[in-house]
Amino acid sequence: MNAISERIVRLRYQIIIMVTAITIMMAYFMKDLEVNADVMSYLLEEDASVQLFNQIGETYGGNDMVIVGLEGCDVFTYKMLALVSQVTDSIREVPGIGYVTSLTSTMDIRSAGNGIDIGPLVDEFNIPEDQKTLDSLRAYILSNPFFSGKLVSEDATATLVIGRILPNVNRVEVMENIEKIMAGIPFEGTVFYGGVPVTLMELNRILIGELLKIGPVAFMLICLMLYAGFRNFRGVFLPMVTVVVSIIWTMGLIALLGYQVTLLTNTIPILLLALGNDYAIHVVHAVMVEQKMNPYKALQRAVRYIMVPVVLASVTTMLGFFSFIAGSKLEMIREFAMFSIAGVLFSVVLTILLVPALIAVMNKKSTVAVAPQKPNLFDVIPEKLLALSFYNRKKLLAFWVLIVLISVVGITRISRSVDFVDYFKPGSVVRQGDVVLSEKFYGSNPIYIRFSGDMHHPEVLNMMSDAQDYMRGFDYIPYTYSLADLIKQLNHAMGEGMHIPDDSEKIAQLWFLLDGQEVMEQLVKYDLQEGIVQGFVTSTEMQVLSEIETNFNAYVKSHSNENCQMAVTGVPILLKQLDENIVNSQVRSLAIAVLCVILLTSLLIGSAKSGLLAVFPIMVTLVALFGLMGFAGVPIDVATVLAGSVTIGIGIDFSIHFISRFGEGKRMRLDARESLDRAIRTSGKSIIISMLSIVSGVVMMVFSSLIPVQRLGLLLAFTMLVSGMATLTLLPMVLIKR
Amino acid sequence: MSIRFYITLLATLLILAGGNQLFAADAGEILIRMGDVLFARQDQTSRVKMILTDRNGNERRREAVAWQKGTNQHLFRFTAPAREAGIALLSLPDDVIYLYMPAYGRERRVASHMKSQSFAGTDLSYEDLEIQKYTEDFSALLIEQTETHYVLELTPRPGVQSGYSRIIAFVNAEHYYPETMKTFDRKGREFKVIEYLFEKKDDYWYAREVFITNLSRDHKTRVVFDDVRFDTGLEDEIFTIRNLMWQ
Repeated sequence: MNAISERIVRLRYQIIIMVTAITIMMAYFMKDLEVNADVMSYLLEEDASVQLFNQIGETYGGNDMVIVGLEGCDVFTYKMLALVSQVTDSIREVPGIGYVTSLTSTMDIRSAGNGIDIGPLVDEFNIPEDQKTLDSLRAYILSNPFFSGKLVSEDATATLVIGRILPNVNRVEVMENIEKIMAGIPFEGTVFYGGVPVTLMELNRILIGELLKIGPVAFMLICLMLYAGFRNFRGVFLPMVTVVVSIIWTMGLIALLGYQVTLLTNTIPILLLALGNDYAIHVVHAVMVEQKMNPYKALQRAVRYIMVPVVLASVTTMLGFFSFIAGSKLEMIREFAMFSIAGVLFSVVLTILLVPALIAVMNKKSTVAVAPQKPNLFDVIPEKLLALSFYNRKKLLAFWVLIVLISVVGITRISRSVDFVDYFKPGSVVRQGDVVLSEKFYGSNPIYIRFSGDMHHPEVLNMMSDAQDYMRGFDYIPYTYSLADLIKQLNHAMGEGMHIPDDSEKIAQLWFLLDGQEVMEQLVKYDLQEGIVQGFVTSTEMQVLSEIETNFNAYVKSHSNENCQMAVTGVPILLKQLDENIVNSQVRSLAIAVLCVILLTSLLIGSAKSGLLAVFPIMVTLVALFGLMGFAGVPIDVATVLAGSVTIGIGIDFSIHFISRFGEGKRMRLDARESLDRAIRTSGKSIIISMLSIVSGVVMMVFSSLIPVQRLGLLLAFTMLVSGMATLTLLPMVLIKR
Repeated sequence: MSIRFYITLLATLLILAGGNQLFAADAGEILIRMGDVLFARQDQTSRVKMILTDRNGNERRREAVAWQKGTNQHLFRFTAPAREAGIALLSLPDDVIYLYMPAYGRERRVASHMKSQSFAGTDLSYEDLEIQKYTEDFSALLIEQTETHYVLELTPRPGVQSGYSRIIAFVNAEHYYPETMKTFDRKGREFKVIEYLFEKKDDYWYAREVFITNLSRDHKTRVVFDDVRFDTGLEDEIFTIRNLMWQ
């Protein structure tokens, strides 16, 4: 160890030059960073629902919907209908859009006397201008359940143009193009947007601006915290250089490897800003503790003492992140974990190499070591806490038991959420659009049931019709559409009533009338051996998603037969899938993180029993975390799912530093109490500084425009405080019993 | 300046000012001659095969027997596939179209504005079936002339309802039948490309095959006319609702 620290000091200039060169290179790569907020694009391709969803997109000209709403003017005027036609044409031209449905591009079947009329609902080439025709059009459309509430609001003040997005295209790009087009179309009313793509576009925008907004504030706050702790330039400069360089390296690596910044990797800089300090803080503090000696000797000694716990602490943090790679199937979470590990690795390597090198250079420039300081709050707090654990053990224990018991109650109340709309603050574009869509229209989340069978067969069409009745039986699916509807309407037009004919020849002949209509390509496969029922779901509440998944899967299973196989997919099913993956990620990653940390701590202490006891503070923290989530109504979502394992990874560092210093005391043949006293003096202060600097960093996430990121920041701040406090109060009780 | 110079100048100006008119007059004549070629026969009977191909290359086939008398009486009776056999379409003057569905045993009149809609799932509209309409409903402009082709731009005459805002027709310069038509929808977007393969039989030129590409649907149709017979003396009785319902 001495040899290493000597070598670092000797090669200090080379190290500084090399780090500078790599940093410049990585900063250069950062210019290529791209953002991808499309959470849905990270769903598992091999999953049957995802495959079916994509297959439907390919066969039927799109699966996901982008909704453009025009609100605030009477829809049934020449001007508005002409505008709808213009918007429809413009959206149709956007690359990635399959079909567009609007008042001027949807098909209608009418019958009068002996006549039959199949054609556009509103002829885009012949929009009515006279009031009488417009009034009769209004009366006809508003009384038709296929159009009223789907394409035009019941009060005729809003209308929708719905684009179907082809599979495997960048939904955000499509949405951005549509928004650009809409900005160029003059309209007196309000344009609003709906559907998953608009939420993704907004996410994308937020992700780009977020770092620039939160980063500098977090940076300043951590600097202040470090200065408050160390009261000198070095104590601020060294940890912050380490952190900034490791952030540049990590983000550069993301770009270099061709990955994109996601909702989660976007939080890495803030996390590193908070975490990366931790290692450097311990080194700087160790150097200060040894400062009575010759500066070089102090540095070597400090590096020697600190290297093992710092490396171990970083390994546990990396294990916390690794638990996501091993435990989550969601690519987005795995990517986040991968680059967080890289970031932590960079931080620790820089702490071991760059910090001593810089200290060595600084010591050379100024032979005066850091002036001894009077004990401050950061020295006093740990000592007070230790005293508390010595003299008020029972009270302290009762306090933690109470926390755990209350938290257990909270855990039973924990909820889950995958509703993207919930990510945004009230008043945001997404929320505004969502309000209009849910109040005036049928919703924006498509659900599909695929029917594999002969589309001429009455049984198959009746199955479709029955499935539609079943779907509409749920309050949150007010609207469905399929070939069966059209066949019923045509049968009615032929004078035989609004039902599916019982003769397949009749169906074949009705089909003849529909053949060639653009809408047919969205409803049936060209060979007529497959068709879909499409519905819209108005809610993405977890209970609704669970009901849909359970009931619809059971329905398609029990109603399929040898003539017709049914399968269900759609945005609600994929969201449920996402939720299940999140929950699985949570359970697996937590289990893996806990096991890894117990194993590592046991190895460090040299006893499995003590290892288990050493992770006690972090277990208490976890229980408190989930208890808080339950009481505060913070759901487990794609971001908050990270809190548990990240807490283990970071929180255990406090224990490791403490246990490591305690072990040194034991090796110096001090008794348990003296060893604890030494551990508090040497690591207590750095734990407090580290804890507060992490809290200062992560708490900045509260300024995020995204609610899950806000929640993650607050949760991590909470767990850091709890785990720091638990380490300094519970661990002494555990260690003194050994 | 000589008188000869002034005469030349005047002639040039006249050509520049009135050239389009001269071309237009020629174009109208070309269009009339095209109509003459296409409808030279009194009547026509043929078997029609329609091969429909979607954007993924999937095919669907339909077969029919077609009768045509004059320029505006058509009867299509479908023979294949089996479950569509017997469906019949009767097209009469003044945009009157009747559809008969044997499974229902009754006919229905198809709304006149459906004429721009797809005919039997093909890329032809009901309007496309009535080639003679070009001469009646469109004004023509000769926009290019080569050794082999006249290129006409056809635009609907005022008051005429058409699914097309413009048609560019490539007319064979020797025999005056159309070889290709590029159509544009009412918003001016390129819509369909119709290519004709003409043959001569019994002194009449007729389209042996027609290839239609619908650019907006990315869909293709090939129509093949077999067993074509001309001037067999088709009675007007054939083109009646009573006959439509006869199988």
